Amino acid sequence: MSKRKSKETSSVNGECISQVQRILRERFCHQCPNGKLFGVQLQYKHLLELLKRTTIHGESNSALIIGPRGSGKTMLLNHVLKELMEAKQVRENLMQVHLNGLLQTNDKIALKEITRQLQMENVVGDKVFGSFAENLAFLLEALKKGDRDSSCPVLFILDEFDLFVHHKNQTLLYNLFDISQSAQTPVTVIGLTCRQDILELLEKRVKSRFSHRQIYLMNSFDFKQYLRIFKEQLYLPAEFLYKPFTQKWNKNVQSLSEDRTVQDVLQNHFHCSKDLRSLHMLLMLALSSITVSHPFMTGSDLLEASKSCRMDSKANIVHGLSVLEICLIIAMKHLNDVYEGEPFNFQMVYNGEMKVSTLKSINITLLLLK
Amino acid sequence: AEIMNTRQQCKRIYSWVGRAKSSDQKMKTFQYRGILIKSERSLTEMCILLGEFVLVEGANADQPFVAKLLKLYEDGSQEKHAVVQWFSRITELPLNKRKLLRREVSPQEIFLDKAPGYGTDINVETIIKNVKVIPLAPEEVVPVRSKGKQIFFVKESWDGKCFKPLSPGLLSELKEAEKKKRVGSPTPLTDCQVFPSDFICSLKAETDRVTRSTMKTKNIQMEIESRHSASKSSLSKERHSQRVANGINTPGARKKLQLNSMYTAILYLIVMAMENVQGQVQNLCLLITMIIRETKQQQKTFSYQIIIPRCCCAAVFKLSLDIHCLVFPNLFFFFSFLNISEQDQEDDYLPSTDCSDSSSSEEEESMVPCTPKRKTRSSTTLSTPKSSRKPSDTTPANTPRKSVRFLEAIGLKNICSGLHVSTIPGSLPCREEEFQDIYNFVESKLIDGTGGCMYISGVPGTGKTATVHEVIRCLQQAAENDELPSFQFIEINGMKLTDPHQAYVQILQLLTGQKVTATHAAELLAKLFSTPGPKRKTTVLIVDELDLLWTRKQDVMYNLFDWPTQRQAKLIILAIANTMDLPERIMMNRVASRLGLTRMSFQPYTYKQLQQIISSRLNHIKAFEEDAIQLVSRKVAALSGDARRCLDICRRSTEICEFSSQKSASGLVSMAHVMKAIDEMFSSPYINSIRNASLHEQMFLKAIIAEFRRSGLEEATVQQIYHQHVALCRIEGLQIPTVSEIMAICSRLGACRFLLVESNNKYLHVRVRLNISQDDVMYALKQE
Repeated sequence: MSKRKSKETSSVNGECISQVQRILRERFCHQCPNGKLFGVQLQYKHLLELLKRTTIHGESNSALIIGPRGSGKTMLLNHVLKELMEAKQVRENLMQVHLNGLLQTNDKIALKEITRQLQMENVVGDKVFGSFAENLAFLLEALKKGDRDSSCPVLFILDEFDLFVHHKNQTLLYNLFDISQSAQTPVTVIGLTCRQDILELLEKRVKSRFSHRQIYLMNSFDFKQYLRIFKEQLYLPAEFLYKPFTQKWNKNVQSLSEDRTVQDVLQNHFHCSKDLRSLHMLLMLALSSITVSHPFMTGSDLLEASKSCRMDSKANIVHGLSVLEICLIIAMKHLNDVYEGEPFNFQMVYNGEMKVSTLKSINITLLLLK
Repeated sequence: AEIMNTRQQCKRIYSWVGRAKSSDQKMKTFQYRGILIKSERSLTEMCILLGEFVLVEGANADQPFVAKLLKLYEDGSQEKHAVVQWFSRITELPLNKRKLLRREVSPQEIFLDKAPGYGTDINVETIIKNVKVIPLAPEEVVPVRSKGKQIFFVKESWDGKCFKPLSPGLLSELKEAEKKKRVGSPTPLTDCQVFPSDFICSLKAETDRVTRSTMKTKNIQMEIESRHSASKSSLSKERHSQRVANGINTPGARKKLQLNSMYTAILYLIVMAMENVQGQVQNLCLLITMIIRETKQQQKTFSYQIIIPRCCCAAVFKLSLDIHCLVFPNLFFFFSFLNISEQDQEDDYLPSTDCSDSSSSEEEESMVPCTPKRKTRSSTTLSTPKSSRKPSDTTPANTPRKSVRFLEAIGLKNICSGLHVSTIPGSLPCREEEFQDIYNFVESKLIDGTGGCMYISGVPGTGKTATVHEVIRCLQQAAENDELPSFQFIEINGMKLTDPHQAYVQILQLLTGQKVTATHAAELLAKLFSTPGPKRKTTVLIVDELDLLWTRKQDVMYNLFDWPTQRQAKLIILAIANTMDLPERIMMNRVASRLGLTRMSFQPYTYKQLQQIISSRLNHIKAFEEDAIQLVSRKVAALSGDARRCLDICRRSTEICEFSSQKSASGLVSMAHVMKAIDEMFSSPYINSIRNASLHEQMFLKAIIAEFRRSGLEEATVQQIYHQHVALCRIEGLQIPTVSEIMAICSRLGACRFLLVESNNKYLHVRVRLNISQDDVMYALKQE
């Protein structure tokens, strides 16, 4: 009887663990729009207001979101768009064009993509995919025809904005900003970039047409907030199926955050990099150690994860070398110290090896093979 | 002198008809009475005489212009010229004026164009062929016709302001001319042989004529009539036919226009007959009889009741001969008969003139230019357009138009929209002088009908394009009010072209709507601007962002600036660019010299001007504190003088004001808000982002500076920096990062461009430089 019960609980546990892993993995790996934003309330408000002006009042605008990698630029934008889309008026009207500097490597491709995303390719038949010049003229004409009150607002999102800057003459940027500065179809151009010097890259005419609205994302939180984020990231949602398990899990997370070793691990991590993606990486590794027999995360799990995170890749390779190879590397190290980084040849290494090594039987051919 | 016309694929050869009828020794011009166009391909000849209507080659090959030939002459340089009276299709008239007509206009209806602005002197080689134009009285309806042959109807005249029905005098005159032409002109010469040989014989010395003049047609007509009368052997008929002949030539054929509907019907018949195939002849006869029956019923008082049916009989008789080309004279006869009968009701019998008596062709030919009737007629047709074509010399008001808007509700949203760069202000403050200069330049060129270039420079955001557009708007308004000759305005932008050569394509497309390749467009444009284009308005071309039209050979720029120098081009170019010395810097000498020295530079706005701009944009609504406006304008003036920036800051500060929790006491946008907006836009992000970087990132920056100081160089490898980093960590008592971590930090800082990192895979030996000043880094790190 008791055996069956324990079996039952273990099966429940198994179910639980797989659910937990699924939820948390989703949280860590995907940039899911349900994820939480941390410390960007001001920027969020600013961006939301800006987009509302375009979508509801038809005011053209342009803005740049600037922040280091992993600071949540795309996430911020996605959150704002999600909130915007809740309004029916916006959902029906707003047209979005997503471009990425890594994909649209020149203006020609970018224009085709814009036409495709605006669903205008069938308007002109195969003409759009005629020449680049025709394409540009067509698109400009199309956008020019609109006016503030009657046309659908168009939102241009340029990911990796800094790569668009290198396009010839910055034609695309000039035209987008020019539309945003003239009484045509309401347009908002949002650029996402990690380069702080982006404004200096813009050509003077393009720069003049850009409205100079910049939204900076900085990861501006201290360790206390970082700990809070850590907890938030691990907490199971209240609507999780197995209530007792959720309680236990969340209590465990709370105790983890108070644990000294865990705090040390996180502190080191925080010192190294503040971006949340690296935290996700750490938690992901820790999460993978969770099994049915080991249902709750412990401090040692995190420590292990942190170790594998911080692993020096080159040093790791050395661990797997044979004795002979290690001998050779040691000899090189000696030479390096002697010559202070000056280059040396194999003969010198071999001679040094002979001097140092106790293994007289080493064959030169063997070494050469290596 | 035969001139090969290479312009069309089908070559045409133009030669004069007859000898010069009069010559002006002083001006060295010779006038002719007709032109012979020989088409090489089809080997047909076409003769066009003065007073006939012709099609003239235009920019658009599908829609040649319609004109009436008034004068043909050859000047000293052996060039054949023609003076014409233009007729405009509805599509050639300004769009906004078309609605003045308040009716549907058939594409075949044309308007006597008395609007000033078109040159009437054209090169003869632009004439394609003659065309039929039928005048209609105001009550008449434009007949709906199949698209087979080109026939135009003229009903109203257009003087640039409004449409007026043709004056009765003019109408009758046109009708007369039309009548004359009916028989002879549109048919090629070879048709002559259709006439029975005895006909030709009876026309004395007719055979030596090259063409059939209008006089000759009259002659034929008379002959036909005399034949009738001969067949009927009735003297009264004879007399009558004489009268008919007189009627044709009577100059002042004033009409009561009672029979207008009849005329239309008959005209319609004639037109039908012209295009007729034989099968329709029977219908024609039936129609004629019906018409006559109707005439009888309607016009009880008609004094020639008996004669009409007889005429009709004659017509039917002729028709039954099945030589359908003879139908026309008869119809014509009939038509003219109605004409004269009407006239007779009004005035008394006109005494027969010399014209009807004379039958010798030589005599007639010599008479053509000197008969007094002719002269009076030609003078009337000439004088009417001339009088209306007087160039208006009143200068338009040059002040920019001011729009006064009243905003009842002062919401910040409204203010925001007023501050948006896209809003086109009613007036452009602080650019009055530049406006005036550009306006005067373009205006003078427009009035002179010449071309020219102007180069406009200035840093971005100083209102170059806006001012030029404003000028064009004012000019267009002036042209609408007939204070200036109308002009065509087109605009290209170097930034909106994918390739400098696309400029040709765009210009051509904007001018004529054709879509061709760049090289072909260049050829067509060169042709368009270098030939004395008939009926071309002056073109005002704005070339924005000129510097982007630069090519290695500079052919685009060269062509652009070469066209206006040609006499016939009538092209005014306003070139806009950012740099003042662009012509000296990037242009070859020959391009720069063609651009000329008409330059203008827009200075960056001073703070006072910016202040004025803001307050004018705000419509003088008090939304900003005085100090706030001053702060914005001073800040921007010190930075760039860019009006766009100024407006952007103002817009942002109103937004900040709107959302800020603590509103200033006055509820206006205050200094604090403006300061915040300026900070957002202009503060360097570096210091703030360094402060927000992680500890090791900051440490790495410190290590770089330490390494730079140690080595005395501004460059170091990651390995060297790593050593410094480790040392610093030891001092601070921090965990020492691994090499991998250091590399990650380095690449992160590199991505944000705090550092410039060599892009290769040398791992630890990658060289690194700082992208920001060491002082900035030290300042940012010291605060902690």
